[in-house]
Amino acid sequence: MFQRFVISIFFAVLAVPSFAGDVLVPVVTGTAGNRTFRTTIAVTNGTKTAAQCVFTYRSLGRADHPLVSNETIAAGQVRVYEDFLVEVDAAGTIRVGCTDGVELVTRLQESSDAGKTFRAGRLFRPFLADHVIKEGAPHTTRAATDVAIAEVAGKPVHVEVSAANFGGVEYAHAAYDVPPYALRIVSLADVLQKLSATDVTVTVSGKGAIVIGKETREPALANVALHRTEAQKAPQVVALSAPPSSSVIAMLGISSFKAAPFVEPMTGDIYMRDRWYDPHTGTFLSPDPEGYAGGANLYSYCHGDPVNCSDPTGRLGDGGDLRADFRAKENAELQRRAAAWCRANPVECAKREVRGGAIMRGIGGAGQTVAGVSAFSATGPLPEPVTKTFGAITAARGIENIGTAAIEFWTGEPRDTGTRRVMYLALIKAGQSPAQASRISGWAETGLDVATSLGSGYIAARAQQLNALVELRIAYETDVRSLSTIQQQLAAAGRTEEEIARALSAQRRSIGIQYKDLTPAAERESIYARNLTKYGDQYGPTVDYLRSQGKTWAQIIESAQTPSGADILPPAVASHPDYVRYTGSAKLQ
Amino acid sequence: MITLRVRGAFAQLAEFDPDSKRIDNRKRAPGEAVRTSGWIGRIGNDEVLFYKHGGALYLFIRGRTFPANGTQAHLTAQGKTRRFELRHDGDSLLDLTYSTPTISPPINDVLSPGESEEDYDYALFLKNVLNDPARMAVCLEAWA
Repeated sequence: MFQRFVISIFFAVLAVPSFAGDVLVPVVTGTAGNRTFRTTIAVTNGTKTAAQCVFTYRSLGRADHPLVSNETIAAGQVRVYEDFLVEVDAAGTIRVGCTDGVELVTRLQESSDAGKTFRAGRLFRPFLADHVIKEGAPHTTRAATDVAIAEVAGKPVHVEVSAANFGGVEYAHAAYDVPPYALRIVSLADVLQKLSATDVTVTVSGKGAIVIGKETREPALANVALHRTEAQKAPQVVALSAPPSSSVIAMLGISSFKAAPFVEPMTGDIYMRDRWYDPHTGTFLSPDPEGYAGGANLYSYCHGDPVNCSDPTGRLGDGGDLRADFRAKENAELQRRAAAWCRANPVECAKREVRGGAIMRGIGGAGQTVAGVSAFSATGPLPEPVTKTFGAITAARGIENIGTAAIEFWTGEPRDTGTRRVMYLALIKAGQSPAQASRISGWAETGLDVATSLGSGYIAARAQQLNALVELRIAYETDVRSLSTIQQQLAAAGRTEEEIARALSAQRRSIGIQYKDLTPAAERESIYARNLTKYGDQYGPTVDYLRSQGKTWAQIIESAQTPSGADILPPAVASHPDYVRYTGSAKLQ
Repeated sequence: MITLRVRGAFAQLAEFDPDSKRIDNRKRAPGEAVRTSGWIGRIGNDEVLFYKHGGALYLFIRGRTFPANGTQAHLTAQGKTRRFELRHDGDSLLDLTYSTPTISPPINDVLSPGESEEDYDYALFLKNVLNDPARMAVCLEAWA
């Protein structure tokens, strides 16, 4: 059965003392799975001077693309942001930081499911500096209702919540993992379970989290907020600001606050959760079918915490990850907004495009330079004039591209490289039209870069392989030649020729196995198979085989000390300066 | 009955009766460690046996048996072919031309220390051993 929830969240202002701290509010808006979410924010400036508020939205668990909006709220004004971020499918937290005078907010949320409508309010308090948990310094608060734990540093935190009575005896404990930029509301009812929650001490330990104590879920606050909003007839629409920086595209969508849908037109009653609330009497007209044991958050899944969880119970219907769903939609929205911004700001957009291209060109140029220098200094894979030429051209092109990219980035204007300019002028001189010359020189430059980069990359890679092979070969020959020392030691110890031959042969076989990478894998497997057929041993002739061939012990000893494979060495290895130097010194010894 | 190793095939053995000149091939049983008395292999189209019998080394070629002592072996290379000659007391036992064996992958590899070309060219092996008394002595010592 396709189920659909509609949850709206709005905040209103209560007459409480002013504060200087920020407020953190979870936000869910847009659609996910079968459900639709809406967020509405109302902020009131109860003072006689204008207040500045900064709204920073961060997607859950994500440090990039913070959405920032700077708002001015006039004195005595109620600023209502309905359908906050409604154009962005979002799940995360909004941090509201205002100058003194902007007061406490509550949340009223609504959802519908198969004709049933739910509504509840939540009060969000500001957090102060001493609410931030420092490493090794657990936060203790005396709380009568809920505790909000927010993560604002962009790193996940693990928090332990314990409740103790006045005697200091712990009688309840719970642990939570809070993702980056998430706000988890811990209901004391969850922690204390069936114990009555009176005045308890809650200790939260963790690092980087913010603890906001005494959160309330009193639905009546929403009602009060609603009436205040209605009464003050606050200005409803605020214009969108320009993007604050090139990297921040999307902005907060703002529209009018709609309180009316929450009020039953015939009776004036307000629907909260799934029961009617009478604002005149302050009482509910029907019993709460679920009670508040599970917390006042009326999202019917995730223990009332849709921001922090991914619907582990599967009640989402499609069983998907709510956050992933939001994330995908949010990304799509960011792209859409970027395109819209470009249409509105074509010049800036063009510059941004040029700068983006310049960054890519610069990165490519850096890669070219590295490849060119590597090829220039490479030894062995190709004749030196070839490697030097490829390396020099590639490095020069890389440096030229970096320089051009730097100019493009600085000016925001596209710019040809000197090489392309020379080619262009030559083509013009040869009779090509400017358009043709531009096109051909562009392709030629790209072709030149691709060819030289690939060539230099190949040279550098081959040189690296060759160096490794030469190094391995030298190590192998050194080890084989060192067997003569073992022979001398065994002879000095009075061992017979046969004993020495058998010992050296065994040692030599282990060296062959150790340096098996000197033989390409395919060839090695072929040799293994052949040896098995011929000698009954994949590693080649055994001592007994050699004896059956009439080989003397002295011959076996000598062959064990002779590095093999020298006559089949790849020419690039045999002529490599390091190897030539090594074999020269080996002969001298 | 003399047990011989077959050139190039570890899993094969041959039983040779010096009296009846009968040769029976058989497979080596898994894990069978048998001490053999010599070799049997082909040079061109001829089957050549080189074995120890009664404390001496012999050659058996084209139905005839000759003592290895006093047998001269010659091997000459002409392009991609080789000519192998065996003579005993002036008699030509064998004179044939064969293609130089192709060895691929190359044998001179780090994985196979001790290998040499004579492991792939039976005629070369016979020439080297028959012309080297020290190796003849090793054969007498190593073979059953």
